[in-house]
Amino acid sequence: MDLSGILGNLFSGVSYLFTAEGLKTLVMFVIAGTLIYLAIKKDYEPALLLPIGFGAILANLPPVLETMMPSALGTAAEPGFLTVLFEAGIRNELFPVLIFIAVGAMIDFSPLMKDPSMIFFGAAAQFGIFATFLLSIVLLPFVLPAHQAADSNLVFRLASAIGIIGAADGPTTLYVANHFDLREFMAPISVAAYSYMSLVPVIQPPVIKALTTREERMIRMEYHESRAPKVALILFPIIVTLVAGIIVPMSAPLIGSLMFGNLIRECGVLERLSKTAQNELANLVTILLGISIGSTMVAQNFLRWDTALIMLLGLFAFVFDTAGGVLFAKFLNIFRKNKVNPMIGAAGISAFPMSARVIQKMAKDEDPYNFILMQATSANVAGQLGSVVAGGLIITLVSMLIK
Amino acid sequence: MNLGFVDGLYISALGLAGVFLVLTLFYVTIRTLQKIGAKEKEE
Repeated sequence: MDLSGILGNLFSGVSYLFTAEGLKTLVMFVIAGTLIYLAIKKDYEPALLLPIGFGAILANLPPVLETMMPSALGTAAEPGFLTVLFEAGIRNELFPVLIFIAVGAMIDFSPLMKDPSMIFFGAAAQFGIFATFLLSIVLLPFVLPAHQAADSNLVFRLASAIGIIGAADGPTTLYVANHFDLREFMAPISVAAYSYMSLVPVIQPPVIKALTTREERMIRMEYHESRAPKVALILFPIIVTLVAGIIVPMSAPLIGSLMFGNLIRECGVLERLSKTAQNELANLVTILLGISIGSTMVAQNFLRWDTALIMLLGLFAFVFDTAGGVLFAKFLNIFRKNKVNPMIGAAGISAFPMSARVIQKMAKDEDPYNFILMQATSANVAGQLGSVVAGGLIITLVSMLIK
Repeated sequence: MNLGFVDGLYISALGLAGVFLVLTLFYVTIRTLQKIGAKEKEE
């Protein structure tokens, strides 16, 4: 081989960047850089966006000459470390389940125990999931390639996963997408789910403001600080697992792991495990989950029209989930003597505890002495339950139809 | 099987109703647990 050939092979990565495929790679670097910027500069859910952004960089590095695959991804015969992580943690739904154990260990159901009526906001705020599911069924055939658009089973499966994005519940979205074998669409679905989750402080306030008056946002709600009885806190996760597992068996892995984490927290004899679940387990899985999701953002799978539509529909789902919760609260206020601050309804999504914090901040902006964090937290934890149940239901119903 | 919008409508209606049903059961669970907790406090 002559010297120019050796140099050409040695610096093949550089020459690759000047090809049409290389241009797509550069676009992906810009997208990855934006995610990292949002994580570091804007502090939007940095624990997720930073690993996702970095994973996207690794997945889009110029391919190794012999294999034509980035070395971080590898080939089918010799998978790279990102592929190994994806197969080990996302493909088999392990990471979502582990994250839910950690989240369960972080959740205090006491506020919900004190005012259980807040649980219905966790149901109402799932409205966007089903509205988006319907909209996706209509719109997806227009952007999918002809052979995929003609496959109504695929459209329904994809619409299910897109709808779940609205719950702002990353693990459940991954769970649904995985169950329906949507690997090709995993990148936009997971990126939409996790980036919108982190953009709760940006997306929710304008929607809430558009649907409520200042007077409504200033409604105060009474709350008496006290902890729920221990026996109730211990029995709750067990009964919820049994009820959800019997009525919606498909929700059992997620609700079971969420409630298992919560039982560790509340039982009072496993403090060490509870702390591990809340800290070490949550941190470890978040790192691996983020970088594995980022690894799905390969240019040829990501820079497509259906990605744009999935991102747009995901945003629609998120907005309509927020709107569903707020409008449900306003509807309840027609009948209630003690009015509910309708912003509480928006906390019925699953982004815990960020959504509750956003609602409290908005309430404080209108009235510095208005404290509705506990009610918002109640709706927020109810949203965790609601989104998992919705995920299980949509899997069950769609699976029944596409059989 | 070729699925259409009406099938989607059924899924959406049943899904949302199902979420409300299951969360209503959770509500009943909490109410019951509140009573158990109150009894325990009295004792």
